[in-house]
Amino acid sequence: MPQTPKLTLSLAKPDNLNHAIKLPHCREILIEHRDLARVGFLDSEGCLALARAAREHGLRTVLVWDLLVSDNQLLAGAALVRGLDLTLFDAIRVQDAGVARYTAECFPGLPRQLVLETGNHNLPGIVTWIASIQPERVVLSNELPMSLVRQIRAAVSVELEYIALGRLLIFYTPRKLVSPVSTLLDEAPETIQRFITSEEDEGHANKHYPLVENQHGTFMYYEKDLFLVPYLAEMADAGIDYARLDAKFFDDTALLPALKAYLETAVDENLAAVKALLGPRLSRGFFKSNRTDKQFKRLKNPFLAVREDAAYLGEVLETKKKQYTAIKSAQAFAVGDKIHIQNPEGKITATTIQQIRDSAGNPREQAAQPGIWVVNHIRGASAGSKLYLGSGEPT
Amino acid sequence: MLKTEILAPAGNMAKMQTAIRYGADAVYLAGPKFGLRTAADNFSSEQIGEACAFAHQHGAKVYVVLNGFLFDEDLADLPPFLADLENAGVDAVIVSDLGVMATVARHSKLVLHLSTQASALNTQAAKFWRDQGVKRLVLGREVTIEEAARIRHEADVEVELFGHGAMCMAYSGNCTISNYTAGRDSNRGGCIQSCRFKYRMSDRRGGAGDAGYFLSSKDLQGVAVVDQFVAQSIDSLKIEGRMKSELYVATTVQTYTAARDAAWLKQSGAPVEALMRELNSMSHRDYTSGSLVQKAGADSVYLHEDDHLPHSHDLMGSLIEVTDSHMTLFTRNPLVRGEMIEMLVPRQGVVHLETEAARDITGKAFDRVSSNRVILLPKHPAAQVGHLLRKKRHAPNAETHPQLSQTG
Repeated sequence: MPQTPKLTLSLAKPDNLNHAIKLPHCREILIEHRDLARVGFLDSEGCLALARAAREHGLRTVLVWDLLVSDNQLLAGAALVRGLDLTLFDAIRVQDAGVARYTAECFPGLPRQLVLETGNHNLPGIVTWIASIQPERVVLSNELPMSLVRQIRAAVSVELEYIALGRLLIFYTPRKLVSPVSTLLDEAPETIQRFITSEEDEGHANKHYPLVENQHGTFMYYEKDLFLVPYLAEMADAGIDYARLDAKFFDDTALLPALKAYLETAVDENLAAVKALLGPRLSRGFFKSNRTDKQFKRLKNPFLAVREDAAYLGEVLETKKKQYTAIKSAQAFAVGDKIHIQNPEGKITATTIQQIRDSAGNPREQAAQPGIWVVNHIRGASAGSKLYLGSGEPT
Repeated sequence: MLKTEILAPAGNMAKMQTAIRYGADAVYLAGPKFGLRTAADNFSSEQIGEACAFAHQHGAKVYVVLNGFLFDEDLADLPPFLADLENAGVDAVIVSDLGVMATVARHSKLVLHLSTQASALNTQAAKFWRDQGVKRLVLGREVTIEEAARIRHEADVEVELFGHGAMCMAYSGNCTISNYTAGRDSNRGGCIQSCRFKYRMSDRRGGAGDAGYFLSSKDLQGVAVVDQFVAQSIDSLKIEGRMKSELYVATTVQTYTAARDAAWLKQSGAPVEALMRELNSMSHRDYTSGSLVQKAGADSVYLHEDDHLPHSHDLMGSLIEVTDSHMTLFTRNPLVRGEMIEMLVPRQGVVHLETEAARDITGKAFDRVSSNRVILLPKHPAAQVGHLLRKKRHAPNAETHPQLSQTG
């Protein structure tokens, strides 16, 4: 069997721990309390029962406290955590910097797992987080391709985790966005699940984004479920210690046995069985590459920016064909000066200043200082065109 | 009590100068990279130097945003830019990424402010960032004024809160919709504003359901609680909007400065309603007080019900020259000769101007000019280059702040 990371699991139903323990490489269970985790379905009793059961089967247990919190919420969460039998947990998982600091200070004996899934895409940052919070593990951003994970692995010694299966959280707000507008509710359940579809253009008509609202706010997920289970060996090779299987939004009664079959026998039939239990569209996320900055250079018209390779004279404000061009100059110029213009479409035209008037209409031989000037009509110039001294030809 | 700083957006040089002319104590702007508004004009290193010189000459500060979540390859370009910023004399950099912060600390002595992108929401987080060398926290928009004051006191760190402008619906920095749906990193300047889209909501994948703007937030408007910013010693009130117009910058800065000054001087009966009318003069979404007083609720979602009056004014243009005889206006909207226009005079208010004597740049009278034209108006004694002019729309919401209004 190829090398595989250890697996950490989030379950939809605690009863399915029985399936989880049969999963090859499963070493850890994430325990999500409804008052501490972003999306959790367990109360304190349920959390403790699941922790005990997991321990009995030799699994590690991690209490998830990944909410972003105000001071009051932090105090409430801290009181809740203090009320739990913390000997049943091997670690606590946090994301909020304040919660991380608080747990490091107040529960020093409970190892921390630090979620760095929001941003944190560079080594200096990750190294500083580790030095400050001293976690046993960091949960890396799913926007990091494996090539960068390798570099992180080479530089840090803590455990590294990466999500391998689950919904991709793409939006988290504390505001409730479903219940105030939903006409489908005849009561207010603790967790409301919906799908939203963009109506902006037809290209999005088949993209349905899961939306979950609970007491902590609203969570939106990518329309495709992340599915990297076929790449676990590659993940391990890059240095990932733990791969997370977040099964809480799926029918894990069926999914976990299917995963077991695939992990034991990686054949197409078993892979198809797993996929059939996930959403209709699957994604590898940014596992292979992340090129989300490549479109940036197209966001602005480069011809509206002042060039650094030429002496900037000013900008065209207004033109009237065969009559004049009004300009705002940035430096002195004179009749007879050769200039060139670059219009907003990028076209460059050379010309010569033939006449200058000030805004009161007085003729001038030179425009001695920056200001508003009216010169002869410049062919090809339009409002916003940039003017430069010189002919524009290479020297 | 502390005289809260009014911090304004500066999307380009003209907006920076506008913000400071109209009373901003500080501006925030971005260089060519490392920020979150890639589509904005932004500033070259040389322009940042010019901006600092202009701001400092007027007693104002300049903060430069470096608040993208950067990858290692992005960080490689950062140290030379930091040197440029130090040479320019910027007063602080606004950072959200701990790696950027570490790089700034390693390569410069620049003062660090934490961006709202880091979603610092509590005192423990404030202490964490303070220990990383941060002097000021731009707190998450989910933090109330009262909570911010407590954080400031208990963490012994400066705090800044957004007081006006568009708001992310998500916790800032916690939205990657653009990354996945458009291949544009929202946390490196590529946000496509997916939260402003119209969506259909259903209880099953692809099912039928009502459509609406479920993810869109109303605009923050906190002019009624500026006195609380001052009373609670909030260090800075931030106005959002580096992509917005000069008129927006001038109007918001002038309005919030007036509110702040009234609060600072403990003037009773601050003209809040009149100030709100000024803010309504600009195009905007429905307003909400967000979480400034209590946590934002269902009524903070912008469902496009538009229960506010249409904006009352349009930008007419800005003065680009003032001579002994005339003032030169570059129009941004059409003008019909004879229409009344209004000049916004910093710290004085609105001056009403006749346009019967307006001429085009060749000195000829006109009946109508379009936008992007240069016209000449008789000189007004209060006129200075950079002053903005506006005109009333033919809409019902046309009344302006009486205390800020005079006829010229």
